Amino acid sequence: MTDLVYRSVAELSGEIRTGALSPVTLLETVLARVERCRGLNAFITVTADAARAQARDAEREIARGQYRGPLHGIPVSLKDLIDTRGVRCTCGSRILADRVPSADAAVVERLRDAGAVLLGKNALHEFAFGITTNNPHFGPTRNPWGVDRIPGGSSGGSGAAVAAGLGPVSLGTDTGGSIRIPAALCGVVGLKPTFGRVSRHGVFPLSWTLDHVGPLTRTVEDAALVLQAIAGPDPRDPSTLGQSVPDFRAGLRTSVAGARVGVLADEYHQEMADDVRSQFRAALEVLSGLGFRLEDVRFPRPAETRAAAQAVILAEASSVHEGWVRERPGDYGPDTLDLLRQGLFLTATQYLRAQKVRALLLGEADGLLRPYAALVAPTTPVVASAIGQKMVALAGREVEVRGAMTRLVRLINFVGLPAISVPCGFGADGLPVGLQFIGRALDEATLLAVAHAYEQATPWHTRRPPDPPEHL
Amino acid sequence: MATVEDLERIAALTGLRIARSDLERLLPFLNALYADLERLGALPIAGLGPAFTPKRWEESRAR
Repeated sequence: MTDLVYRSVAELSGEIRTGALSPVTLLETVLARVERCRGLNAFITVTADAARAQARDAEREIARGQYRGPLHGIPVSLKDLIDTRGVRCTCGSRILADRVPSADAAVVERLRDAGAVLLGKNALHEFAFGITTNNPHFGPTRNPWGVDRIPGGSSGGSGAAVAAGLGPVSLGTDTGGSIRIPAALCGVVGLKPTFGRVSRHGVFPLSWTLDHVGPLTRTVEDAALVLQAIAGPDPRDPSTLGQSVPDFRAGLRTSVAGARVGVLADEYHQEMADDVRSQFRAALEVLSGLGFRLEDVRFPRPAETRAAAQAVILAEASSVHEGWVRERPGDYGPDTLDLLRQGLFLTATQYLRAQKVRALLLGEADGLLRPYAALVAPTTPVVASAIGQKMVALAGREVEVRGAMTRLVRLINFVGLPAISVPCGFGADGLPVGLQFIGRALDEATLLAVAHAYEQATPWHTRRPPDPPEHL
Repeated sequence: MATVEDLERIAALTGLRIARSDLERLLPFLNALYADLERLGALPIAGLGPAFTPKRWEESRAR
């Protein structure tokens, strides 16, 4: 059973296609694992009965020779701010605790079309506005690698679920690192595509100009397979791009040996815990050994980028929530309410100044990336902190956990570039460390090829967390 | 530097009911953010319009 729940989509789909593995058997095995790991609190809602019906349908279709592709019959879970027809979508909040959407989000439509079996809705930080997934309404989600530790966030339930074998795929969202942070802290893969590559229609917004939807998986190949299914233009989301979608899985076989990779230096190097630094250096040696040409580069204006990104997320999130913040402040958790209220004290000119800075940075970031197949940096400068911990030591000073965790990822949302976090070893207390690759706009194919080359040269994606205690 | 009284005036102007103790907690974060945003004015952005999406990537590739 343990072996089956840790197989990749690529492995499972091969067996499902030939009939060697029944989607019903796979689903029942995963559901048993979900039940065994309830203490992790990775799910808000498990849709077992609906999933069983979908798995039976998949089995019948495949038996009739109507195989749809690599996600057919694969259990997939969704961060609980992605709309699901007839299944409540809480956004991790009290305010929307009983909301039942009447339609699927665009990405859910695409997953259904691909034949995926929708397993349930993953826990998240309240309204996706935070990185701990210590949710005041649904309880804290626990990191499978250390159950007293946060899984990261805001897609923390997604990270914990994939790491613990509760399905090989979850879809998350990333506004300031919320796919890559839980991927790093839980030791799995998290892909934030280029802004506009994946429709956000039917996904509850945090920040319209920063939100991205993407997969958390256990391998880079699986991330490519899921991106293939969910990418593409959607007239209901005007931010989506009209670009054709390449064959991402085929792109993994493209040779990237000898390509130039920029190593983010400067602030990226200066503020990093010792255990993360040592794993990062080891990762650079692996990349060098693979034939990549490593060169130190500097991200343009990181301090200014962080400030502008903070202004944009605060202002846009406060606009989304303005009515509820005024009328129902007591229904928010304190950390979310504080952030939303801060945004109400920003002026329109401050917001637009931040968006003008973004115009400047878009050009500079594109210029920086142009000669490189990818940039590389740690995903987070520290490993998972304890549940409830507010401050963390970084470069000899105490900083807020939220600020530390978003420090190396938020910049990338602001310029809309694709980025992926892959496991790169273990730090203090045996907790995972993540390695972040950042790609050129709309060139996820090369980004995935670089990340895949690194992954295949290391054992980290094969490591499994211990089973959680029976009674958490 | 903004003061709690400044925040109280803004809250009153915009119809936001918020306790003084809450404003006192928000004040240091807002002052730090205001200072950061003030510094952004020194960047060469005078001739730029705000960028809300990366559509220009698509446009630049089409050229």
